[in-house]
Amino acid sequence: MPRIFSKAVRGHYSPGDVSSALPVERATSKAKDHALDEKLQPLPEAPKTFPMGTGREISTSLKLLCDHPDLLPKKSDREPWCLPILRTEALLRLSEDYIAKTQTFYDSCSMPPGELDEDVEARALKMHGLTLDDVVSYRDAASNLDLEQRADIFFLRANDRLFRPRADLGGKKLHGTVHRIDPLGTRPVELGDILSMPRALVVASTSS
Amino acid sequence: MYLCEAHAADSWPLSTNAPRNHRCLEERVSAAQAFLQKWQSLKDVVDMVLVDAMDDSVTISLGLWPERFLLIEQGIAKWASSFEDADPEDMVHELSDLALFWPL
Repeated sequence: MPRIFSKAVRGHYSPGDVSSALPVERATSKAKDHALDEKLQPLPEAPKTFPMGTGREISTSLKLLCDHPDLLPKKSDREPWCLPILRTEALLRLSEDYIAKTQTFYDSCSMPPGELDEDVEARALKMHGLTLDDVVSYRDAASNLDLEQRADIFFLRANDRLFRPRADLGGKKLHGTVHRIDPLGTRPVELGDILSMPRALVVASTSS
Repeated sequence: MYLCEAHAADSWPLSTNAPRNHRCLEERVSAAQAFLQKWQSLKDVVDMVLVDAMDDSVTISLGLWPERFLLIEQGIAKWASSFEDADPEDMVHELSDLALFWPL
């Protein structure tokens, strides 16, 4: 159930290329987007410090946030314009507010609606002075980041490592070593051997 | 075939009840068994339970993540679902049509 296809990687870029796509006039505009204002709920107040070791109970989201120092802001003049927004979006995706919404669907074994993704994306844009008009260029810029930059953003990193939607298997013999679970234990097996039966339906899935 | 988690608590959480990423094969096997315990109807119809290795090599090379359905004949993929098959009902129809010519 990977949720970010709008920012699937498209290629590499050399530092500086993306800056030409920066919607400067919008990035610096303080104009209000009233439609967006009505859609957005108040953001949770960001903690000024993480109460690690103070004896206070720390929320699951804050623990996660503490585990992701890669999302902390970095100062760089040459940083692509979309990266700070992606970090904000990533932090919003770790917030209790967002996870409380997705959890309702996740725990009932259904996929959270795409509107939740769009909402958190819109919030991140708004926090950086952008509007929904910028969402296409934002997604394009994220898609054009190189893999090293995308690796800082957890929801892009997961897709980049594992998601291969264009893998064409039609007419191909399957190979690879997997592990078969039997009542007596687990043993490595070769896919080509165990699937050499006349017919089989393979269901490959995560549990989430 | 059970794969690495898509929304583990320590990588891309969507719930405070999400499992953690598997740290070893034993954890992955246990998670697969727990998954089948939860979905008894699926467990009742599977002939073989597999898990990918910890390097996720089969998942990546075959584009299985986060889920994929494959029809195999003599080890060769005759049909594979795509991620555009977003509606489960569409895929059921597609599989049913295939089964008319190729009963399992």
